Formats: sequence, C-alpha cells, structure tokens
Amino acid sequence: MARVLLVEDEQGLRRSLTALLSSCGHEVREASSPGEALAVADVFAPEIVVADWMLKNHLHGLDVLRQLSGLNPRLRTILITGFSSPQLREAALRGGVVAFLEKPFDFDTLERAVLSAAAAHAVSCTHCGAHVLSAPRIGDAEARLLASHLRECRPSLLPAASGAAGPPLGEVLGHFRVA
Amino acid sequence: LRILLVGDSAVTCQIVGAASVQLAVPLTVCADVTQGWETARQEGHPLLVVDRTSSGGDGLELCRRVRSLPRGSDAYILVLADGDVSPAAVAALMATGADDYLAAPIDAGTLALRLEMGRRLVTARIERRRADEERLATQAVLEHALDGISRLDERGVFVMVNPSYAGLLGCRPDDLVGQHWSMTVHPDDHDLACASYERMRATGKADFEARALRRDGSCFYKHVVMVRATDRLGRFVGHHCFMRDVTEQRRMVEEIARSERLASIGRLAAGIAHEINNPVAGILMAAEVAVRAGREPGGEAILEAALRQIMDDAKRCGRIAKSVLQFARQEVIETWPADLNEVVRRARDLTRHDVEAHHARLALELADHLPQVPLNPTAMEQVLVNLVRNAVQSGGTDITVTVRTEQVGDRIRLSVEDDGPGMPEDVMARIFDPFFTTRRERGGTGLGLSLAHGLVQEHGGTITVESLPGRGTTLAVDLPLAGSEQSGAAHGESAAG
Repeated sequence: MARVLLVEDEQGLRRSLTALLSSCGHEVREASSPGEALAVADVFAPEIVVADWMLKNHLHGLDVLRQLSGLNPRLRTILITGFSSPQLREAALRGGVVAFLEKPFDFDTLERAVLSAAAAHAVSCTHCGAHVLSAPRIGDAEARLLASHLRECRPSLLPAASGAAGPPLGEVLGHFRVA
Repeated sequence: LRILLVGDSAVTCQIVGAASVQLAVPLTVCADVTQGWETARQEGHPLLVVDRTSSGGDGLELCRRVRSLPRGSDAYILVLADGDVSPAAVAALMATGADDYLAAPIDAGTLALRLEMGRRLVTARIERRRADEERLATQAVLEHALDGISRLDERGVFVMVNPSYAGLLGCRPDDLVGQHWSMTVHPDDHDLACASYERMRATGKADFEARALRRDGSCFYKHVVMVRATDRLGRFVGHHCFMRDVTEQRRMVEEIARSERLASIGRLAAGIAHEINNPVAGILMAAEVAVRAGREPGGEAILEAALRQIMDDAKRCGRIAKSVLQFARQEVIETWPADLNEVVRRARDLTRHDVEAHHARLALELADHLPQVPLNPTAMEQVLVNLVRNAVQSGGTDITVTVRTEQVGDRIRLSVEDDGPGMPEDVMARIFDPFFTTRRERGGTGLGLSLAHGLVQEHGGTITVESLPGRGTTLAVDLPLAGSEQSGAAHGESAAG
C-alpha cells in the first residue's frame, strides 16, 4: 500500500476520496491548495500525488506536480480534472503523470491508477535530472516520450529523422535513470 | 491680356497705339500676316486687330486660322475693313470668325471702345470655357466613379443619376430620372430612410445603412450619404446622394460576430463542464463512501455524512443548471421609460431576506425628480438584486450597502456601494467572467455579476467596478437617458461628422 497526497480544493470530494483511499489501506494526507500540498509533502514524503488540475486561483495542478517532482524524482503523479482537452492530456503526459482522470470517475478507476502508479517506474533524464515519466511498463509510447525529451534536452544526441516509429527503446534508455 | 495688331499702315499703328495706352493694355505689332500668325499661334493674344489689307497674305484667312487655335474661340477679333463695307462684304468678313469690324477712317476713341467691349467678351468667353471644362471633368468623374452618385430635387425626385448608381440598382440612369427615391429602398427600411432624409434636411448631412431594392426586386445593403443642396439664398433645392454596396462588408462583420459568439459558447460550455463535473465527481465518491459504510456495522454516521454531501453537491448541480439557463436565456429585452427609483424599492423587498441573513444594512439614497429612463423593470430588478447580494455576501461583518440613484450628464447612474472588505485587482478584473467566484464553497456559481453585466449591456448601458481592499466596493450601472440613445442611423451620422 502507498503513501498518497491528495490535492483537491473541493472539500466534499476531498473528504470522500480520503475516506475511500484510506479504506483501501493507503496512507492518505489531504491538501486543499498548492502551498499546503508543498508543506505537507515536505513532512509526509508521499510516493503518489493525486492532484486536481484546476485548483483555485487557477494555479494549475500540473505546476504543483512539477514542484513536487522537483523535490522527489521518484514521485508518481495522477492528475484529475473537471475539464479535459487533448492538449491538456498531452501536456500532462509530457509532464510525466502516470494517469490522467476526468471527473466524474469511478473510484475503481482511481484505485487502479493508484495501484499501477505504486508499481510504476520513475524515469528521469541523466543529463538534466528532470523526471520525465512514471509508468508501470516502458513500451513504444513511453520510448517516444523519452526520445522527444532527449531531442529537446540534448539535440545532438539523437538524429532528427528517426522515422515515425521513433528510435528503438534500447537506444534512448541509456540516457535515462529508471527507478 | 494683350493686343495684337496685324497691319503695316503707320497711321493704323498710331491709332491702335493710342487706344492701347488709353486702355492700359500692352500692344504687339506685326507688319505682315505670316508674322502675325506666328505670334498669335505662339503667344495667343486674345485681343486681335487685323487690317484686312496687310501685306504678306489675306487678313481674313488669318482670322479663320486664329479661330481654329486651341483657345482661339476665346479671342476677340476686330477687322479694319478698307473700302467695301456693303452688307455682303461685311457678311463675308464676319463669316471668317471676326467679332466686329471698323471701316476706315478709324479714330482712337471708337477703337478703344470696341477693344473695351472685346475685353469683356474675352473674359466672358474664358469663364464659359473654364466652366465647360469643369463640367466635362465632373461628368467624367460621375461617369467612371465606382460609388453611386445622384442628384435629387426638393421633392426627392432623381434629376441626375450616374451609371454606377443605376448599375447598383440594376437599371439604367434614364430609368431612375423622374422617379422618387423611396422606390429604391426596401419597404421595411422605409421609415429609417425617411428619418435620415429629414435629418439631412435639418442638419445638412446624414447617412444610413439600409436594404436597397433593385429593379428586379432583389436586395442588397447600401450605405448612403445624403448632402443637402441649397440655392444662393440658402433655400433647400434638393440633395446629393452617394451610395455604396456594403453587403459583403456586412456579411464579413456578421461572420466575425458569429464566430465570436461560437467561441464564447465554447468557453461557456467548457466552464459548464468544469462546474458540473466537480460536484458530480463529489456525488459519485460520496455515494461510494455511502455504499461501503452501509455494509459495515456502526457506519451510520459516515453514511449520513456521505448522503448529506450528495445532497449538497446535487443542489449545487441544480443551481448551476438554473443559472446557466438564465444566462443563456438572455434575449433582446424590451425597454420602456420607467422610474428607476421604483425598481430600487422593489429590489429592496426582494433582497430583504439576504440582507438580514448576513446581518447587513441596506440604505437607499434616491435622487428626487429622477427622469424616466428606458429600461426593462424586471431585468433591472434582477441586476440590482445580484449587485446587492454580491455586496452583502462580500464576506465582511456589519456591512452597510448603499444603493444610490443620480443623474450624471445624459446618463442615469445606479450605484451599489458597500463598506465590506473590498477586493484585490486580480479579482476585480474577473468579477464579470462567467463562473468566476470567490464563494464556491458557500454556493456561489459565478454567474450573478456576469448575468448583471449582460443585462446592463442589453440596456445599452455600462457597468463598472471600483474597489479598494479594506475600504469596500462600488458597482456602478450607467444607463443612457431616452434621446441620447444611439440608434444605428444616428451612429452613422456622428461618424459622418
């Protein structure tokens, strides 16, 4: 079971989620704002963060995740949102979130996401140190994400035209640390 | 102006010289016809005295040639006839283009008199030629202008119509001359056109946009500028009318407005999705909690809390749906002159409960003898209720809300002032945005002020906010008085200046 930090500004939803995740055996702490999340994370050292995208004052949940990941590169993150778009989903996945859930969702879906996040690998770049993604398995989709990070981080290392399928996983993996 | 004498008689030279001195007009003398022709051709002397018996050629032939010069028709030609002045001889002489003749012997006084008449004739001829040139130039402009141009008499009947004007209306200029302008305007826009016509008569110039009627019955949108024409005494004698087809322009403006409307619907939909999905997620999770609590002995308290949570979130969904409906239902509202103070008094009754529940006070400062202002009382009541609720819910304690009415220039101002906590600038910048609220936890939907904003706009008014943190907030609604209302046509007039 995992240590979960829940960042959600909707009080009712936050309380229900805390109760449900706790009943599944996870250790849960709540935060209602980005500032509170950072303060709690400092003491609690969560393994998984579940954060609402559109927190109050339009401080994006993704920014919170970035800041938290900066503190702990092994952190796995799950984003929940009341308003989704393909752009947002892509930005979230590029930002290294393990799962992206749209409200309203079943608790089972969240529970599965938390379990797979707990089992996920955290992949960070050996060049810049950034946390690039967390995933239970690293396949073609993940390889493409890693390659695109590498192209931005160290353009000289990867030939620009690597074909639609992207470079083989083995070729890019040497530049990343998998934890 | 110069005199050119063509002749080789010394006596004639002296007499013409004396006349030139008397008239103070410089003189050029050419002894023979060839030299005279060269001088006339190159220098164009408009006062020509030709001795028909000069050497070197025929004096009368010279007259003919001078008349054929580009500005030869301006010239005054006086022939000094020697000998034969029989009617037949004079007729032959005049037929060459001469204006007059003098028979020998001539004296300086008579000659000077003739030359003075000649000078007047030349001046008149030059004026007429210039007027002709001007008229031709104007005609060319009218002929080729892309805009439709026409002139109408004092009855509003077409007197002159250029090809573009007729072309726009799908006919020939002759079809319109003699017709009244009203036949070129779509019947539905007749009143608008008449109002502009009267404004043109009163102020000298007016413009309007309306549907024009082509000959075949089809329509297009025209922009028309009318300029009053007056005679020398300032009496109205008709007007000039300039017309342009603005159908395409209007279509583009409408297209842009439509895409903006679609974009705002998109933003609204995104907002609604976010606002509804949050409480629905809350309901789902609370229901999950309730289901689990129901299975466990002693879970009654948790079950009840979860069910209450579900009720709260469901109510919130309902509130949002209701506000969205109200927001979307903003239609064109009808306004009529009404007493704003009366609206304020009714709104006070409607908000009494809110004011008391928040331990606030509501003070009215209503201007006496407030002129009536075009408004929709129900809509304005709704605006005021929203503004007052916003004030009493601003989070302060012991708040006094002052509702004030006053006349400010050509507008009526309705302001709602509170001495609550005020708001920072970033909040102030967004208070009219749909779904923006600082009171979501306490049931705010973020649509109240947005709705008020929309309704005030429908009244042709403006709503502004002023706030200082710690000092309070004032929301001011400005409504235009009747008459200062800008209709589409009146707007055009101000643009035409």
